[in-house]
Amino acid sequence: MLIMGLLGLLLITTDYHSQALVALRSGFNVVATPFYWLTSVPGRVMQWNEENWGSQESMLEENQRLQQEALILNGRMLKMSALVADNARLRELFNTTALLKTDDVLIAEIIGLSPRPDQQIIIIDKGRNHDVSVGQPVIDAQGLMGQVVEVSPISARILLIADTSHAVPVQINRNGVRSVAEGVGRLDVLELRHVAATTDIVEGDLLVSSGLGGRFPVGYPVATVSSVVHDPGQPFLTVQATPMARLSQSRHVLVVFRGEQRNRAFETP
Amino acid sequence: MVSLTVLASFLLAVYPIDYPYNWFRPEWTAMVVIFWSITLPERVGVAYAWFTGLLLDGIAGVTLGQNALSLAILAFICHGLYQRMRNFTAPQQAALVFVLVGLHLLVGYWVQSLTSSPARHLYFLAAALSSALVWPLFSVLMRYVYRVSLR
Repeated sequence: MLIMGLLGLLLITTDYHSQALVALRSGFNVVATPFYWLTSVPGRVMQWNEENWGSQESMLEENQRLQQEALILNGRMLKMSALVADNARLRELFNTTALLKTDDVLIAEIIGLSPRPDQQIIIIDKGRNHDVSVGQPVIDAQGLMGQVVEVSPISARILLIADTSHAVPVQINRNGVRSVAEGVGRLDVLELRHVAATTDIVEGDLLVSSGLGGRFPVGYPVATVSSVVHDPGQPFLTVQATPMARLSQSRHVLVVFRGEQRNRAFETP
Repeated sequence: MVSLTVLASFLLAVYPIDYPYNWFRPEWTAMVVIFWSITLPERVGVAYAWFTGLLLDGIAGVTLGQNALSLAILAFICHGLYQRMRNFTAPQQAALVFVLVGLHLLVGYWVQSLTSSPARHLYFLAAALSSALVWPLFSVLMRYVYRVSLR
């Protein structure tokens, strides 16, 4: 017992203080993936059922809705391309080197959640074999979801922006005021810390990633401000925001690749 | 047989449960270790529990050694108690399981507070309550599994 106890403590301290066990961890993740995959089977079967045995009406309805959505998005895209060209010209006028580039993305499926209730982590089915690496941002169709914190050859762990240990540098889309959005351990709430009482921030403001810190690209929607409370006894405002990304409902996520782009930005004089 | 139930407990341990309810996920692996160290103390010892815990650490993605340590402690305590525990009534056993799983969770909480910011409240003990509540049914099922495997 004594030996096993000491071994356990030794393992905990090594894992805590050093990177020596990273290889072992990655090995464990390979073993773990089938477990997560298996537990996601019931959900998949239900979805498969819905897809294959759903009534024709609901299929037609969905088809119609998707077609309309595609039409609207295409319409917006038409305007976008003009705007992008416009933006590039203006940037050239200002002699700025950083050009807006669309990022490459990889579609991944969520196969599991972290079993720890105080940790907001999801597991996806793409890993090192698909060139996913630690630190990559992850988004869904609505906004920023989180970042890759651990990769194994066939899976990766994504730390969501709602985790208590996560913070995103953001700015208010309306006026460019910068802040940091921290997770509080709930999927539907982010908090802005140390916002001065005189800051121009109101309910409904869109927060986008500011790109400071270099981890997340500029301009992805992160959250909308849901409440601003000014307590005269407190030095700062209490600001809460609702994440844009559907952290608890998405089935598919996009892993963003932008390594090449970053290198090019550094090379240009 | 023992290993099969341990593998099944890993599956249940990572089965996705929505956020507020996952606080009440029973600690299946801890319960399996408790059951076997009472039923087959000569097969499931401290070392077996330790390696089971290490695997669970890797699969659940927590600090390596956390569950290894706590499950080894559980097995050690159960080995001191198994003769008495076998004669307990179901509610008595459930009460003891509450304490044992609570201890297991406390060790986990302690390790997590070393490495990251853990939950700031006592919700983490909810799993001990749910484990104790499902224990009577669980032990009946496990005894059935054990008897079938003996045939």
